Amino acid sequence: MSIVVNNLCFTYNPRTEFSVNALIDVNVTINDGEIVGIVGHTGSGKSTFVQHLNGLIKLQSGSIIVNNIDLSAKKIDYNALRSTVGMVFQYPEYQLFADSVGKDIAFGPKNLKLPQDLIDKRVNDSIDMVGLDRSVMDKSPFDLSGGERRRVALAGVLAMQPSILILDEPTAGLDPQGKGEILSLVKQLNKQLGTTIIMVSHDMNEIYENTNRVLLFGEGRIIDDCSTELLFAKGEQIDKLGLQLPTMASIKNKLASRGIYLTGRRVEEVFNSILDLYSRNSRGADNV
Amino acid sequence: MEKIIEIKNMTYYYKSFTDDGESQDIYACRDINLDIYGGEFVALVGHNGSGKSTLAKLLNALLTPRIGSVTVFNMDTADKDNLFDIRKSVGMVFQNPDNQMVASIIEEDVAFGPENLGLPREEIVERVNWALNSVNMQQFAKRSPHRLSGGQKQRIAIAGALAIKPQVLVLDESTAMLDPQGRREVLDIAHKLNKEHGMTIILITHFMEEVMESDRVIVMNKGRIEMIDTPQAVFAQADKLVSIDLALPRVVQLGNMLLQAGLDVGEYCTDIDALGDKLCQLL
Repeated sequence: MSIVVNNLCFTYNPRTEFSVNALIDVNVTINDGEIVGIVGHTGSGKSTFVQHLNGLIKLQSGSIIVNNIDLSAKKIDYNALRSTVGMVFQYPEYQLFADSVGKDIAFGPKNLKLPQDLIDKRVNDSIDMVGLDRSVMDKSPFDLSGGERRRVALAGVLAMQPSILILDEPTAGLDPQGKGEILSLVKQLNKQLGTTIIMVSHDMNEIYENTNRVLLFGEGRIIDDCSTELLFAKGEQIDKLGLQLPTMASIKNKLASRGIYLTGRRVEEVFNSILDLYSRNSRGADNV
Repeated sequence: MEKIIEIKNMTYYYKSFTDDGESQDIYACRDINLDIYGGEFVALVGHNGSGKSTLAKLLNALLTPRIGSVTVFNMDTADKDNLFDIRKSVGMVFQNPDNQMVASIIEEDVAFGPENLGLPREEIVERVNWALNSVNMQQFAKRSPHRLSGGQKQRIAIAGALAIKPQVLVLDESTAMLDPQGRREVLDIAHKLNKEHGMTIILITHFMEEVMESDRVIVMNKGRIEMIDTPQAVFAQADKLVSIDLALPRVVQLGNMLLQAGLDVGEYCTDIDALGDKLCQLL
């Protein structure tokens, strides 16, 4: 089991008049190889939660165990934790700092004090993985496009070879093509290397099409934890929280309320499901 | 309607220098011809690097054309003497709300523009109140911007532009960094300003969902204007949009696919409920 969280509570500015309960009794288990989406309003505790998972926020109460590393222990091996859990923040391209792409990606492995040939290998492998040409290595990050810069930032995280990858709004601000590239890369990591993916997003269409399970956060609690299909089929709960239903889910729900059941989550899948039903109906009509 | 912005045979290129010190011209806008009319709500879309933000900066003389001309309210943007009046006429709000705050108290931030116009105090106060009211942020006047949500910050940035009392407001990807609720807030304000105050709005975005309610859509690709038309007519050219890396809203995608497969779901459905109703009848 990869991540086990029990009774996690967290308060910002405790014992002051600015104190805010950001997390209240959060319990969840995330297994190896899952793709989990995290959704919820701004301020619902999503970011506070994921920042606990790689030790960016110190545990106040409750327990977290990540791949056998106990985060409630007195001494935590942060090097091991941060090579296990890779974190890609919002707009990660703003965090590129080195004067060349290669140096930027090498920063993490270098801090692990790996031998130079291993560092070089990791840098090359990560550049290949994110689909950039190795010739970008000597360029300044500022000479790249927004989408390319984001992939460089991602490569820097992948160079740590994390078995769990957390992405906070990974596609925000990218055009449709850039979005597609990042999402297919994430899915490929999951499929080929078995990397556990935890994805925070406000884009419900993206969550609907790319995750299998969703944690719904509200006011610091996990208020629902179920399969992606089921969560959005329930509809009202999402509506009540002011979150948007994915387009395909709202069409499916509308038809389901009249007893017509469609399958699939991507546009093409739903399209095929409609055609299928339509042709069956018209064939049925022919027989009568 | 009155023509307020006129762009004629306009080309803009950036100078870029390679490591060897050689200069290179990178064309961001090529041969642009475009008229904007008073009171319009225009959406400008294109993928990253298509030239839409460069075009926006040419509208209020943050950049001036290398070739051709941009005329705003009969003022040539290339003429430095017009700068002040052009900037008063065309307000601009950018992508990142955190980069646009200049003061630590919201009303002081909004007052920055009118103060620089050298207006009398009473008028500044009046404008700040009006601007904050227009974006429904009056109750935050005395607070600090730091504890606001992204959508709220962006509304303050809009108020800052409004306080100049521009006739045109350019929103340059102002919704890109916001969550869906914040995005809705900003869009609602833009539509309200357009309808109630007749303000001309130029909305730059790559969210195709956001262009559905506009009067005209301008599609840019590689620095050129590919299409100018109503949202419906633009969405009808799905293949062309996809070929220039723009995604149709999912509901339009599904509607188009069904139409092509011979299901009569009606032309270019942009409404989920309407498409759902049609499907209920068909299935």
